[in-house]
Amino acid sequence: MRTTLSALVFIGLAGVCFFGYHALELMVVSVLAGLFTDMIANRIRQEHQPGSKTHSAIMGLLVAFTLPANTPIYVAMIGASVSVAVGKHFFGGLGHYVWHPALIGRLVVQLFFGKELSQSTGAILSREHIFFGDISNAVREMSWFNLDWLSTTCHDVAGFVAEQPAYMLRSLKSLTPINGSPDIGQYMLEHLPPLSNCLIGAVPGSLGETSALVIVVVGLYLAYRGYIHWQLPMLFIATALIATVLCPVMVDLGPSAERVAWFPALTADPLVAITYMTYQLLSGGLLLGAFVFMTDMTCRPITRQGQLLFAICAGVLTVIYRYYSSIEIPCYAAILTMNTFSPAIDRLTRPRGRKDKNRR
Amino acid sequence: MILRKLYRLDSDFHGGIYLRPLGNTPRVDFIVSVDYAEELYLPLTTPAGETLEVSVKPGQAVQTGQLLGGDAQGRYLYAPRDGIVGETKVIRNSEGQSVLLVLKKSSRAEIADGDTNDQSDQIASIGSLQLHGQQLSVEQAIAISGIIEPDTGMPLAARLAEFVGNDVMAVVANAAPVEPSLNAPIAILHHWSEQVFAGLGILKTYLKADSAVMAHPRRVTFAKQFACEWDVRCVAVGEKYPQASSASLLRTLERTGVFRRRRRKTGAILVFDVQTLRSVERVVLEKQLPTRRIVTVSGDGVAKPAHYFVAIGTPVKYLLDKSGKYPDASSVVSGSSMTGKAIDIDSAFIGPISESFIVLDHVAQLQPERCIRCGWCLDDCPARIDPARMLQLIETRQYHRAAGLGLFDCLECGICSYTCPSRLRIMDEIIKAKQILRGNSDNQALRAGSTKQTLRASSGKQTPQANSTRQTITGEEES
Repeated sequence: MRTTLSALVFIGLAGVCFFGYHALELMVVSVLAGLFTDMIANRIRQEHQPGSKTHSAIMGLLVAFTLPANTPIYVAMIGASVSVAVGKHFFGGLGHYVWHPALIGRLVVQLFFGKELSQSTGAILSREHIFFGDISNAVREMSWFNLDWLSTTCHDVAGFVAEQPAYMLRSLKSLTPINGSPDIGQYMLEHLPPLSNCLIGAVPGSLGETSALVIVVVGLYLAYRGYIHWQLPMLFIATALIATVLCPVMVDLGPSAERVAWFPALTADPLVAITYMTYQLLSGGLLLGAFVFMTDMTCRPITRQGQLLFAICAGVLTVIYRYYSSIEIPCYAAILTMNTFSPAIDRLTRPRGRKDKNRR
Repeated sequence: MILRKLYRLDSDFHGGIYLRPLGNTPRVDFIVSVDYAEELYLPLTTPAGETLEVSVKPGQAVQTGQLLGGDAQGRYLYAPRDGIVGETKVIRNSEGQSVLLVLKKSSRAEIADGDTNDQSDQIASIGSLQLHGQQLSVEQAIAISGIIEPDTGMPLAARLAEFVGNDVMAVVANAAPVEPSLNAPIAILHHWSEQVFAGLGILKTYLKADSAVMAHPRRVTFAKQFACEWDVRCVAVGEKYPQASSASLLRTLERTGVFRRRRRKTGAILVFDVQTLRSVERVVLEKQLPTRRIVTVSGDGVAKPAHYFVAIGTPVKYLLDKSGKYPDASSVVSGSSMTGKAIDIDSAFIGPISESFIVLDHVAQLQPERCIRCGWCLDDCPARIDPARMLQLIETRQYHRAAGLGLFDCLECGICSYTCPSRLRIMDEIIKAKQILRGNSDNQALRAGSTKQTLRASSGKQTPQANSTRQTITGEEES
C-alpha cells in the first residue's frame, strides 16, 4: 500500500506541475476526505484492518486524478467520500469490494456534477508558471494550430485555454471532405495538440491522466516490484489500439453535418491512421486506467488467464464506449463493466488441478 | 529467472519458486561418519503413532543387527551396534509422547555371555532368521529389513507388494534436493553412486518395470558407467522448489519427454528417494540392515553445516554440537524449512525416517492479515489449485466443497504461505482440513477451532504439522 501510494505521488506531481496549486488543493482535500470517511466507516463497522487507511488515501488520490482542473473543491470531497464509503466499505472493505472505489466515486461525481465538468476546452499553465500558477488565471484562448507548449510563452496571464484532446477526438465535427472521405489529418493539426505535448502531459485534461510518460514509468516500476503483472496493461492497451483502428468512427462531414463512417484502417495515408491511434492512446484515461485502475488487486480476476481475458474485453469495451456512446468517462466505464464480470471470469478460469495420470 | 518465465526455457513443472540457500550449503564431498559412544535411544513409536512390540528384555545383551522389536505391519527395529538393552523411556514432545528403547554400550565379555532370544512370538521368529543365514528373495529381504519410506512413513515392502503384480511402467530415482541447502542426495550420489544405481536396478527387475530413470540436479557429477551397467537413464532436472516432490518431478519428467517412447502407455511410475535405494542395495546385496542414516544439519544457526552418517537413536543434540550450533539460535526444525516442524532439542533423537535438521538463527513472529487477492499463491502453486479460495472455503468450514475443488491435490509444499504478503498460514489450514476430512483427528477440538488442541491431537508423519518456518513460527509449538 505504501509503495503504491508513494508511486502515485509522482503522478500527482505531474498534475500539479501543469495545473498549479489548485490541483494540489484538490488532491489534498480528496485524500483527507477519504481518510476521514474511512475512519468513520471503520468506527461504524467496528473493523480494524491494517492496510485500510493507506488504501483509502490511495482511493481519494485516484478520485482527484480523474477530475479536471476546474473542479470545485466540494465536488472532490464528495467524490472521495462516496468512493470510500460506498465503493469500498459498503461492499465489504478492503479485499471484498466488487468495483474500483475511485471509479465509483468518479461515476457519482459525473452523474451529479457532470455538466460543469465536461467542457470542450480546458486550462493549462504555461511554461513559466508551472507548479505555482493560478489555473483560474489561465485565460488566453489559443488554438493548437499555433500553440506548442514547449515553446510558447505567456507573460501576462498564467496560461492558456485550449481544446481538450479527449473531447475533440470524440466529437469529430465539421471535417472538410477530401475525395469523399474526411480529412482527419487536417483536423488533427488544427484541433489536437502536438504529440510531444501529449506525451509529457502539457495538455488540458484531468489531473492525473495527461502525463503519459510519468504514468508509464510508474506503472513499469510497480510491475517490477511485483504488484502488477505487466501483461495486463500491455494487453489492454494493445487491444484498445487495434480496436481503435478497426472499428468505424462516425464523423460529421462538411457544413451539412452528414454522418459518415470512417475506417481508420482503410485510410489512404497510413501515417494519419497511426497518428490518430497514438492520440487515442495518449488522451483520456486510457493509460491511467490501464496501469493504475485495472490492476487493483481486489476487483480484477485472480487467475492469470482471467486477467488477460479481463484486459482484452476492457480494451474492446473502451473503444466501443468511446466511439458509440456519449458517456464522458468511457475508459472508466469499461473498467467498471469488466469489474462486474470479474467473479464470473474467476470461476471460468479457475485452476483445475493437475492433469497427470501417473500420480503416486 | 524472469527470462525463463517469459520464454519457458526450462522444462520444469508449472508454478514453484526458486529458493535461496538458508545459511551455508553443506559440502557434498564430505559425509561425516559419526560413532556416538553413549547410550542410544531407539524410537519405538512409529511415525503413524503406534508403538512397536519389544522382543528383548531389559538387561539382555544384543549384537549388531539383532531384532529388538517390530509390529504386524512390517516395521522392525534392529540394533545399530552391540550393547545391553535398558528400560523403555517415555518422553513428551510436541507430537505427544514417544517411547524409546535405551541401548547402553557394553564390553565384549558381556556379549559372549548373553543368550540368544527364545521367544515364540511370530514377529521375533521372522526376524531371527538372520539375514546371513539363508538365501532370501528380494521381497523377503526388503520385508525383513523394515526399510521405511521417508515421505509416507510406511514400509517399503508394503508399497512394493501393492505394485508387484500390476503394471509398473518405470521406476524413478529422485535425487533432486528438497532445498538448496539440503543437498544430501547429491552427496549420496557423489559417494555411493554404484549403490544407488544398483538399488534402482534391483527394484526395476523386481517390479518388472520397463525403464529406470535417475532424475538428478544439473550440476552434480557422478560416475556414469554404473548407469549404463544397470540400464538407467539419467535426466537432469532443474532446481525449482518442490522439485523433490514426486508429483512435480513426474511432471518435469513428462515435459522432458523421457517417457515418450514406451511400449505400453499405461502403468504406474514409482518414485523412490536416493537413500531408500541405497538401503535396498545394502540389504539385498550386502545383507546390511538399515540402522544408519544420512542426516543433514544446516541452516544459518550452525557454523559448519554438514552431512552425517549416523546410527538411529543418536541424540540430535550431539549432531548439533558437532556442527557448531550457535547458543542463541532460536529454533531447530526437523524437515525442510518450508514444511518442517520445530522440535525440542533435548528430546529429539534420530529416527528411521529422519532426514534433515535446520537450525534457524532468528524467527520472525508475524501475525496474519486479510487476504488481498493478489494471486501470488495461485501463480506459484505447483499443484494448480487456488490456495486463496481453499483458505476461504476452509475458514467457512465448507470442507467438502474444498475437496471438490482439489484439496487433496495439494502437495503441502508451503509455497502459498511463503509468498503470501498477508502472511496467511494457508498450508496449515489445508493440512488441518485434510485431517478433518480423513477423520483421524479429534473432530470436536477442531470444530472448536482451538489451535492448541489441534496440535496435540494431530497424528504424526503422514500428515505433518507444518509451519512455514522461513517466515513465521506459530507460538504454540511447544504445546
